[in-house]
Amino acid sequence: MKTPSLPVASCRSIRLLLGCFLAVFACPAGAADPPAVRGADELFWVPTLEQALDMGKATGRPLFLMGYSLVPNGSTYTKLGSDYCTGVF
Amino acid sequence: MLSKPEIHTRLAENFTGLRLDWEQGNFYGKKFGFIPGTGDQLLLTPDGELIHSEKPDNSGKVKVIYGRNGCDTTAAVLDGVMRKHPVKSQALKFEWFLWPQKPAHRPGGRYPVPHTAIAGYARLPYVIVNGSIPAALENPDFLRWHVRQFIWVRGKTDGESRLAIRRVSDGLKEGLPTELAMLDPAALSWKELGEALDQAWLTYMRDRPLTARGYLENEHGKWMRGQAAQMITEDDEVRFRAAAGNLLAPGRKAGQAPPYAVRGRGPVPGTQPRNSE
Repeated sequence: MKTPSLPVASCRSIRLLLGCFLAVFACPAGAADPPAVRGADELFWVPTLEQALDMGKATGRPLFLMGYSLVPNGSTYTKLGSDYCTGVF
Repeated sequence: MLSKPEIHTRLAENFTGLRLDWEQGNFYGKKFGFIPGTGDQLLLTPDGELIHSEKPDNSGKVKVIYGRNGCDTTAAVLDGVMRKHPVKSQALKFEWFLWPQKPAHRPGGRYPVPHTAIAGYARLPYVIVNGSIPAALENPDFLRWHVRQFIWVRGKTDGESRLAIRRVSDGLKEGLPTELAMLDPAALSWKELGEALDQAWLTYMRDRPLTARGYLENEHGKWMRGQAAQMITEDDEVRFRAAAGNLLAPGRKAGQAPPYAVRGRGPVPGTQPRNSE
């Protein structure tokens, strides 16, 4: 008995469905680039206002300043474990 | 704020960043008219003039302080500044990143904080540059690829050129050494030097100290709890990807080759004395 072959249109549909299945489950969203480090690490941070102004003069870049503080462990910013840093925002 | 891609991308590509500790803020108190507090953000022109917000804040006042204590630092705000002050050059100089110590107004005070303090705060390894500064560190392409991976500080100016790469003790797991690498730039091509810097950086990132989470649990830090999940996820992802070897350093995209290696910059291997020979 001859085995009936699938119509061409059905074969194409199956391939299309398989392709979609693979695209959804084999390529999760955002897989193009692995995550980079934290956003703050991306900036060109310089140590002093003098150096920032020098860089501004040479490049035309405006400046972004952010106030921060360092406090010791045991005050408001208690270390939860030995591998936690003490610096805060 | 800084973990929002639309913000940190704009800042990285179009601004110069400066973290202001109290001592430096006090030093410039007269210039700004106040001492910026923790979390205060300021925007300045390339000439150092304060940029006022275009829109008043909730109280109806035009402010100079952005961030959580002032006007939101949104993409639109940054775009407005960028339109008035577009970048005109991609120059980079190593001297802009070398960590100094300068006398402050307060007797005995110095600014900025010591390099070990900022390395602990920023959770980065630091490099002591001894002897002559390697030519690679005076190349803008090389700097663009590597300068954001480390805190850089000048050591002894005489003697042989060496790069001592280290961790700070703050947040260091027991048993981990503070020294990450000691490099002889004269014995390495730029490509080899870059690879060695990357390796030291990845080694550090595998055990990068975690964000000071005690603040989040504290009453004073509850305003940050909305970002807590993101902060914790980022910390875990950095360690995970560093261990896997595919953590991207700042400014890089997957698949990119170092620009200095593509253009064949640096000394030809074999023409410089090598440690292995």
